[in-house]
Amino acid sequence: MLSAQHLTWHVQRDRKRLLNDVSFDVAPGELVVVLGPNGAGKSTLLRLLAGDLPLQQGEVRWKEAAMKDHAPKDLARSRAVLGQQNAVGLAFTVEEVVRMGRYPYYGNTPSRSDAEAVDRAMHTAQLDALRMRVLDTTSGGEQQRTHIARTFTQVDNNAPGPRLLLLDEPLNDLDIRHQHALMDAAKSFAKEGHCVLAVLHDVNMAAQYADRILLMNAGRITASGVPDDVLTAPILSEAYGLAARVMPHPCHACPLVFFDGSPKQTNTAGVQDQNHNAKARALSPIM
Amino acid sequence: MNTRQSIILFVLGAALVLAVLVAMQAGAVHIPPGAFFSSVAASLGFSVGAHSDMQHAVLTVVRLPRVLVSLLAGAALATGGTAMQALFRNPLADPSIIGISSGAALMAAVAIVMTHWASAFFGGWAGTFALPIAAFIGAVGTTFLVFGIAREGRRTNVAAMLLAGVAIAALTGALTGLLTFTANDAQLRSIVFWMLGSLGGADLNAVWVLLVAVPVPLIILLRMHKPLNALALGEDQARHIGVDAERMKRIVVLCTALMVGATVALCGVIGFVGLVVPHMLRLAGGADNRFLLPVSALGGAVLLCLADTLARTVAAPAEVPIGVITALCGAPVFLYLLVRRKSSLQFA
Repeated sequence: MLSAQHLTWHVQRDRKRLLNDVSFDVAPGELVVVLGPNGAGKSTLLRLLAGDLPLQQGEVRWKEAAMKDHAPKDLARSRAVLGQQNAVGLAFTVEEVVRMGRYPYYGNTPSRSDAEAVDRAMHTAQLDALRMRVLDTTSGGEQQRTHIARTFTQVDNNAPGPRLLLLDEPLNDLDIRHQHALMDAAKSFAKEGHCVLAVLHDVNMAAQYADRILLMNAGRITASGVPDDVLTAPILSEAYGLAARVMPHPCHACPLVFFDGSPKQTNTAGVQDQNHNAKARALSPIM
Repeated sequence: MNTRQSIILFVLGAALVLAVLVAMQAGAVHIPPGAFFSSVAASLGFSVGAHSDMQHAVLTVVRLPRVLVSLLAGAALATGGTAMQALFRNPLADPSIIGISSGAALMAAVAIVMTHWASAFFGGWAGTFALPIAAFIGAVGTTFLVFGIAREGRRTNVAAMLLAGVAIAALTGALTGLLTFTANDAQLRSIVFWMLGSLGGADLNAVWVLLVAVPVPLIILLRMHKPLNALALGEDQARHIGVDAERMKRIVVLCTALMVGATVALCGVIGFVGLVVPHMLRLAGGADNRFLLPVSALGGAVLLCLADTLARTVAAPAEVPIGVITALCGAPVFLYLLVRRKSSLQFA
C-alpha cells in the first residue's frame, strides 16, 4: 500500500510552506480522491509521491519500502503517473505515445503482449480511429485520453501484488462521457486490489466514485473520510469560501453538492441568507 | 515500424548502394562501370573483364577511403542531429548546438595559426596531425564545458545547456575571429576553407580514425530510441516510465561529441546535414526514434556521399568546399518543406 508520513515541503527560495505535515495511507482496493482549492498543495503532494520533487521532511512508502528504494524498472511496472503538463515535443503519433507506456516491459522491440496491451488501452480510451494521427494535431481531450491510455497500459500486467496509479487532474479537457469512463476505469482498477490516488476539482465526481476523500487546504489535510463524512456543507463552505448545499444524490448512494456562486460571508450566519441573495440576484432584470 | 517507414528504409538502403556506385565511378579519372566491376572483382580474387592498373589504384587508394569517410561522417552528423533534436525536444537543434563545431573551429584556427611555432617544437609530425587533434580537443572540450555549465547539482538543465551552447559558440566565434584577424593570408585561407568543410584529406588513416570513433557511439545512440522518445514527454514523465533521464543525457552528449567531434576534426565544419536530414525524415516518416535514428544514419551517409561526389567533380580538378554544396542543396529543399508543411511544424 501507499503511505505518506509527515510530508512537509517548502519552496527553497522564500521558505513558503506548500505542504505541512501531511500523512495518509491508501490501502489496496481503494480509490482515494484529493480535493481542495487552488494552491492547497494537491499537486505538490502528488509530485512528491511521484518523485518529481525531492523529499524534504517525511517519508513516502510503497509496498513496505521507501519509494526511493524501489528499483526504477520495477517501480515503472507497478506505478504509473498521469501528470498535468503533457505537451509532447516533436510529432509523435497517438499510438507511439501510448506505446511509451510499455517501455518498462520491452528492450528493443515490443512483444506481442505489449502490442495487445497498447491496443487494449487505446480501445478503452476510444482512440482506435486516432491511432496514426500526430498527437499535437488532435484536440485537448483526445490528447488527455492518449496520456490516460499510456498511463493505464503502463500498469497492465500480471505481476502479483498491488499497483499504483497517481492521477493529477485526470478529467482535464474530457467531455462528460469520457470523464465517467475514466473514473469507471480507475474505480475498477482499484477494485482489482490496486491503489488509486486522484487529484480532482469536481466535488460530485469525487462523491460518486471515491472510496475516501482527502480534503486539503493551505498545505494541510483538513478533512478525510468517506464522501458522506467529508462532503458536508460546513466543511466545504470553509474549504472553498463558498456557500455549499449538500443533499442526497437522486440516483446514487452518495451526496450531491451545489455551490452558491458568490463568495461566502465572513460570518457563517447562513447558507440560507446567501441562497436568498442568490435568488434575488437571479430575478433581478439587471443580471 | 509501419509500412511507410519500411519503404523509406528500403529506398534509403537502395540509394546508399547507388550513391556508392556513382561516387566510385565519378571523378577526375572516369572509371566506366565495366572497369569498376572488373577492378572490384580483381580485389576479391576474380578475373572478370578489363581494367587498367591506374584505374585500380585510383579506386582503392583514392576513392574508396574518400567514399568510406563520407559515409561514416554523414551518418555521424545526421544521427548526432537526430539525437540533439530529441534531447532538446526541438527540431531546430543540431550537433553544433552543444558547441562541437564552434569549439573545433577555434582550436583548428589556433592550430593553423600556430603551425610554424608547433612545427618548431614538435617537428613535421605536428604539421600533419596538429590540426585534427586540436579540432577534436576543441569539439569535445567545448561540449564538456557547455554540459558542465548546465549542471545543477546532480541534474543537467537542458534549457541551460541550450543557452550555454549559444553563449559559448559566440565566445569561441569571437576568438576565432580574433585569430583570423592576426593570421596571414595563407593561414586565413586555410581557416576559411577548413570552416567550409572538405573531404579532400580523406585517406586510409582517416578511415581508421572514423572506424574507431563513429560506429560504437552510433550503435549506442541507435539503441537509445526508447529514452530519446520518452524525453518528448518531458523529463518527469520519462522518469515515470522508467527512463533514467540523467544517465541518458550524459550518454547522448558523450556519444554525439565523440563521433561528430572526430568527423569535424577530419572534415571541417559541414553544416546542414545534422539539421536537415533528421528534419526531412521526420516529416516523411514520423518522429519515432526507433525509425528516425537508423534512417538518419543512412540518409546522412547518402547525402554526404553524393555531396562529396559533386564537390570534387563539378569544378574538377578544383574542389568546391563540401559545406557549400550541402547548404546549397539542403537549404532550398528545407525551405520548400517549410513553406509546404509549416502548419504542421511544432516548436515545443
